[in-house]
Amino acid sequence: MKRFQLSRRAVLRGTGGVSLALPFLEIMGRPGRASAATAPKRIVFWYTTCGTVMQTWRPAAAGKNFEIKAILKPFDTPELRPHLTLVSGVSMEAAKKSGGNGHAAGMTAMMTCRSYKERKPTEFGDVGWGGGISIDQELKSHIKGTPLSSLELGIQTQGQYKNFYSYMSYGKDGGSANAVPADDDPVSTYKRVFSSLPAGATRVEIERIIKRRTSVLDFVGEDYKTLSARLGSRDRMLLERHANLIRELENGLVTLNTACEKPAQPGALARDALYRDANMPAIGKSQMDILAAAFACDQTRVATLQWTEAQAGQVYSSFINTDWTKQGDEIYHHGISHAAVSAAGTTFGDNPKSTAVQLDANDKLTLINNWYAQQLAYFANKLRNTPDVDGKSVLDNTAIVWVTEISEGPNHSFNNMPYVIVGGLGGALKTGEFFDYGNKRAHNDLFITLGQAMGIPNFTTFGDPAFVKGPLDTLLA
Amino acid sequence: MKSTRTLAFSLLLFGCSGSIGTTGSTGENGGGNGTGTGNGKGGAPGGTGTMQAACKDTITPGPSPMRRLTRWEYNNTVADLLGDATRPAEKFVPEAVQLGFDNNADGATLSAVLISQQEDAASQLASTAVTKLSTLLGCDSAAKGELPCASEFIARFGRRALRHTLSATERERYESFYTKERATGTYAEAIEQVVHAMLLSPYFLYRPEFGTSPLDTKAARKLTGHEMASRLSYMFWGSMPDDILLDAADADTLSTPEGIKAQAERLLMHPRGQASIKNFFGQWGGLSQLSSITRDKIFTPQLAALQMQETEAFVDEIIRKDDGRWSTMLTAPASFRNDVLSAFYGQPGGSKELARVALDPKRTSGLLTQGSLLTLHAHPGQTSPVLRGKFLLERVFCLPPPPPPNDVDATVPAPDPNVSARKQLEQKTQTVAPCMGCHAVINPPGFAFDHFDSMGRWRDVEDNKLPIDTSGELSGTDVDGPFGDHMDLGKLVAQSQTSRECVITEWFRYTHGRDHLEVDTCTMDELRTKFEASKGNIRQLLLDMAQTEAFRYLASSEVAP
Repeated sequence: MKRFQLSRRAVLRGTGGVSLALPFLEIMGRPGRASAATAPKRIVFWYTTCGTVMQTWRPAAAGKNFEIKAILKPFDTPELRPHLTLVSGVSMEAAKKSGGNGHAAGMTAMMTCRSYKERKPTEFGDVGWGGGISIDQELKSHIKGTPLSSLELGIQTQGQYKNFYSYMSYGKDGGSANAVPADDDPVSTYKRVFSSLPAGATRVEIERIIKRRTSVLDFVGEDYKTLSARLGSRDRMLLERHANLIRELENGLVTLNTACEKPAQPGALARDALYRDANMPAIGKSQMDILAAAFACDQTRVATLQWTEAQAGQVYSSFINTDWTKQGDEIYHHGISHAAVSAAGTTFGDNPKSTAVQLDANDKLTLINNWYAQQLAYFANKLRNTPDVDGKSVLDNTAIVWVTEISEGPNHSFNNMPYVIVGGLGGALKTGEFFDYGNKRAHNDLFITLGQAMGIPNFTTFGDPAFVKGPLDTLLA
Repeated sequence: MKSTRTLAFSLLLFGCSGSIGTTGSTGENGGGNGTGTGNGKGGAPGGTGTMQAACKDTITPGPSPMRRLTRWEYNNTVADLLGDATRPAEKFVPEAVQLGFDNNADGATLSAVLISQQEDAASQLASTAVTKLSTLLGCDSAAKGELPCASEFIARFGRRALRHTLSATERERYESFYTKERATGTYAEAIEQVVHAMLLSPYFLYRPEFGTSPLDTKAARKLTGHEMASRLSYMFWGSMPDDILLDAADADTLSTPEGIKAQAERLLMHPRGQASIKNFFGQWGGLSQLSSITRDKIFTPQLAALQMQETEAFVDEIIRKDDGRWSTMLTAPASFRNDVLSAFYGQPGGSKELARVALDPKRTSGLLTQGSLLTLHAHPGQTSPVLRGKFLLERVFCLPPPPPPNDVDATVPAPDPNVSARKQLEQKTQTVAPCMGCHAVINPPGFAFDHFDSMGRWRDVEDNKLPIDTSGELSGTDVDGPFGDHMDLGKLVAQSQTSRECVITEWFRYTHGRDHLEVDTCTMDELRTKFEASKGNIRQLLLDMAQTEAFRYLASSEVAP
């Protein structure tokens, strides 16, 4: 005799008189409609590798009318400047504690504010994995009610190393087992955010498609439950994790905002094309468009956008037009970052200090970071031109936080990390100012500040407590 | 094209005060043991009388962590199951490579992205499959009736997709699901839902194993016929069992070593038997990186692909067509070339297709002089004796050198018109502590190959026209001694028992998805004895590996009580 089972899906759909507040389903999809509604806050961590060129990034003095130098020139417009905030003088103390290979220590501490887990010696210095949960995964755990709890978008993050250099996000407890990969394929990202709904499908058709897919996931979920009970503990835990992810996928499908205005479906790229340097701009644009739409429709409120892996071998010559020959064979990102000269005048290893190669490397690196700033400006403008439910723009209610794993290439420094924040989280953060904390604050504190600005109650600590002092008060509005 | 994995201008510098290969270093390739007898167990192969007796009395199969289909296996499987050649898993989140292979059980990491990708792939595969409904069903629903046909389909397709005969309960579950879907959709749509669900089942994506009733000792269980069939097919073909294997499973002929051997032989010698050989050596040699390194402009993507195919064809030929011996692999004066490759290597000739060619027996030493490996272990425009020496020690001997100390200056000396590259490297790494101890072992085997440039081509002299000195001394291994060039070195390596044991270790890891442990001592001793007796015949090793107790039994702790 079969037991009546109310499927998860039915409950979420609100049958049987149970109603669930689905976020912004009716309100979204009608741009320009001003209302007294409160807009959700969104945050995205934007990653590039190998630090910056301090000489062309850092303004001379802190304050409101700070100088925008060469790298951040794309933000030197009346529209974007008010949204631009720079933070310097914050250090990654947890990375210093890890020691060993600079890029590994930096990458694994960058979002976790903890030192290595699974430390291992190698010919390039000690390496390891993130020591705990990353800030994006932490923030998302406090935010309910969106179809996707977070989005991790990547551009060529899983092509080269496929190890701790490749991951910026970590689930609870960190370590290699909890590293969260970014999705490098815009086609795959698109499907996650908008589901594989055919263009021009009617409301009824869409409902039916989702119903069929969730029906399969419901059925399959039972399979995992039954099987895992028969296995030993290691395999049981593995299948339970898998089953949880299936459940999350199903929940996302059920609560999907199907009225969302979608960007054009990105063209499919074969795997080797997906990892070709020349395709970076197009892939990046697809990912940015998808993320912008995901924020606009409140499909998610927490994201990472990761450009390449740490110490990547990216070659930009096919789309950054300049004379690359002065760098000889070393025209890849990591190599150039080591050929450069730091603000304090140091060079890497026994590189000479002031040859043409060194000076040119700084120029190249400035161009590279300027290119990334252009992408950031594109994304910021997209959000700026999207009306939000409170009559402001989506950008007003967002923070895009530019992170990197070292501050300068020549010395793998973890001081003066070059944070750029675009957007003010609905007025919770000050904007349009350059803040300098004199390397007396750890980046734990910056993330605590962001958590509080996101409106998470009691967010008073993050990462290794040894480095926590509290929020950066002057950054909060 | 991306640049080389290692910083182009950095050497690998090793600092150590002890000797290479002793325990204590836990490099990527496992325990770093130098004696080759497993992790610290000691004792000569064959063991004492008591140990042999103990091995006969008990069955200790070691752990069998559940395996998940790798992307490569997934693609092969859906091609066999559905005739679908779209290879959807190509763009799945990659596995985490452990101990050199992507099919390590611990490398099957999970993420929301992956689950979403799997669901999407299953959805597409199912929707494509039902466009040819009658072929898929293999049953005339008009004549037989929809439900009976669906029922038959679930049993028949399920046996192949889920790689076991469905129980009555399982069949009923799928039938109810089908009926429910049929009530709100067409016949094709309902079947599509069933296929979609099966492709997401843990029995499809994973290879769960329970074994048959426990032995008297209650410590181990024999694998069932279907579980054995899956182990065999994934070991040799990287895909699901074919009908012959499935039938053998049903007929219970896979419960004896003889029955297993017969199938293993069939799979290995079948044309599809090349799949795992090539997959293994591709990963062992890191050949997929060829497509993303930077060398001279002449090294086009086409050449990179051809160098990879050259090596794949070569290893497959030696193992399955030639005498199968590791020593032959290391010394054969042959390779596989077509016209493009031959022209590239400076010996024009050949046709469009890759074919076996005899090469200069004074210059060619099998796998060791394969262009692919010489190219990978080099820098743009320069050879890298350090990388080549390290590769030999690590992957051919399983004796990974310990890492260098932090903060050493690892820049490659810029080429000098008046000084040979060898002298520069020796000056930098072999005259100063803490480098000289390890580099005295690493560098010489690397220098031996210096006549092969950064793209695997022969050169008589360096770019600066200075002569090349390839002489040296091999140390830290079981076949230490002086050599004049890479040919002498190849002959030394071909005699090494340590190297043969390394071959066993690597194939064990590939087959079992984990490292061998102390509990595997009996298995490893058995394999070692047989490998020595066959003079290092890899073909025989693979067949023997499929007949070990570690392969045929499951520790009872793997299953819930």
